[in-house]
Amino acid sequence: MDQIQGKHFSITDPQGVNTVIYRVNKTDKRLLDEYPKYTVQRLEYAEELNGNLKKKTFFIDEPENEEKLVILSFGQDKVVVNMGLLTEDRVKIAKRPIPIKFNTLYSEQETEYKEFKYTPDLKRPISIIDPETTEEIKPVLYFDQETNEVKGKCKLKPYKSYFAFEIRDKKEDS
Amino acid sequence: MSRTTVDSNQEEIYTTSVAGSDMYVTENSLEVPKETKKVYEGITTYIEEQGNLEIPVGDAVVTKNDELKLEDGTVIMMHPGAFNVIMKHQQEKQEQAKAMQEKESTTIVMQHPELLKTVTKRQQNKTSKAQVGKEDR
Repeated sequence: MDQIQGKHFSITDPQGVNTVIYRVNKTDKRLLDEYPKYTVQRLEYAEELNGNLKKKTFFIDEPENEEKLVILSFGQDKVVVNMGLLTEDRVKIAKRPIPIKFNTLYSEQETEYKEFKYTPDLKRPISIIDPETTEEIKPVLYFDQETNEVKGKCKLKPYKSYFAFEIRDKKEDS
Repeated sequence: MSRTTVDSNQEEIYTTSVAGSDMYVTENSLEVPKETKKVYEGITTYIEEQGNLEIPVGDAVVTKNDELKLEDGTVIMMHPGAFNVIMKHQQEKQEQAKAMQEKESTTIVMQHPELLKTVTKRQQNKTSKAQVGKEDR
């Protein structure tokens, strides 16, 4: 295949803000034994600089009639979480997003990356993002021959905040 | 008569939420800080209930050279490997679709076991005819 069809839309980040967008996929109920109920796919984008502003054109491949989006805008000491709904010809974004302030984003201590044990629950995918770089932290799986188990590890910097999120069903009102 | 049922498609839109949290890494562990009540739930109802901003969407393609080609002819370069990343996601979807098809065919047989009996009987008949044919010769 030489090319992939899809849709595009653009947003502009001011200086100091870095936005990433995820597409929410819901698994068919007939496959819930094998796959988690929700998974996320990070959207690829092309970037153009315009003075202090960054114009990001996101691409979503072969979208359905409606696609749910999670929009994360990382700033100096917080991330703003927003939701979007992509339809045929527009993306609707909520006017009142939710800010999450970080405890400690930057540490004065010089620290190196350390390897932490982190075995992800494949039935409950949680995405971990470094707020400084917006890179996703993906654990590396390995087979522990001593315990005969598949385990995971990932490299993180101590004394630093990371952002974790998951998609789940809305709680029932009690 | 007032409507009391909700359209199933509409109901589906409002059931997912995003739960996010600040995670703090110490020397040896990952912690969610105690004072953190920072599991926020952003619900897709916000989009409809609180009003929304709208961004236009257009058609586009990504080429194997990592070019993003827009419908107006504009070409913007994506990062190296973008095409392969998107292809990988598509392959995962195709695997799921294949798993669905396999499940559906298994379900059809389980729901209609008489179909399996019919097929088996036809196979038996074919085998018997073939044997008769051999004997005649």
